[in-house]
Amino acid sequence: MTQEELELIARAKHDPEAFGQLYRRYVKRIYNYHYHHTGNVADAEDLTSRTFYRALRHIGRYQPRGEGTFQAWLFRIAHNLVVNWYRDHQPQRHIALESVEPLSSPLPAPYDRIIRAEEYARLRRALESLPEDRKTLIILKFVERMTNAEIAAVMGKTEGAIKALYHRTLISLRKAMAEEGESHVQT
Amino acid sequence: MFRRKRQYIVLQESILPEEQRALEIAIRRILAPVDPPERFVAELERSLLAEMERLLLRTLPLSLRRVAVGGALLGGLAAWFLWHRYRAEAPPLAPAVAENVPPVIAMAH
Repeated sequence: MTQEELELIARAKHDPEAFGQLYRRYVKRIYNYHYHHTGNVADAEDLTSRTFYRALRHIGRYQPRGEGTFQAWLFRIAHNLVVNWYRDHQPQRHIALESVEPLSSPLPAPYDRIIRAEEYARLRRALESLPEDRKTLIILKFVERMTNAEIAAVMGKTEGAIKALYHRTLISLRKAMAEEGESHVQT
Repeated sequence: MFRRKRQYIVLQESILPEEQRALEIAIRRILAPVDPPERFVAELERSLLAEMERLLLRTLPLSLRRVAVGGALLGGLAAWFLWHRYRAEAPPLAPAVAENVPPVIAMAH
């Protein structure tokens, strides 16, 4: 966390203008986090609003020390809200990833050959079926580009636990894709 | 006699580095960043700032509120006292017509 951000956070405790600056700095990321979890705009907007309202009410008590960077603190609030969301929306859980079609490929040629178009669809479905904690890990790693240490701070786990969870997640994704591929061949 | 069937237990599954990279690239492409609607961002900012103003007013320190209330009371008292003093000291307003000259006589002249 930079000195500038520390000063901004200190001011944001009693200055609406400073809080507005912090909001503008993080709103897109928090929205993305919620959108990729919920898969719809309405829920993403609702959870984003609730994240910032909660941050506003508790920023006075925020202390920047140890692993508690502001980013981790804010994403922890978002994470707690997402966990509640999953609890309330268990039956209708879905993720809207259909809008992102792998048409124009910026990938290097060998990887394009490995992950083909039909496999993207399988991977999407495999991502959909991931449990909440694994999906959180994937979103923080690939959308937010956080390091394992930063993810550990958000999820309240150790860095080693995050590495292990990531490894298990990749294997489960590969397995889910392979199983679906086999069932397609059999039918 | 019977033949014992060999069973193997997989201790830990692994993933090849190339396979991992391909998966990571594919995940990154599927989870592309999304922009929130501008109207939503602007509206939420406005309502957050209004809420913060409200919270700041509500959470003013008690001593500050006491000073404000005390100051207002003292100011009111001082204004009331000064107004009364002014009324007591001020000479009565001069009448429009002189009191000792009856109007009828004045007209006769």
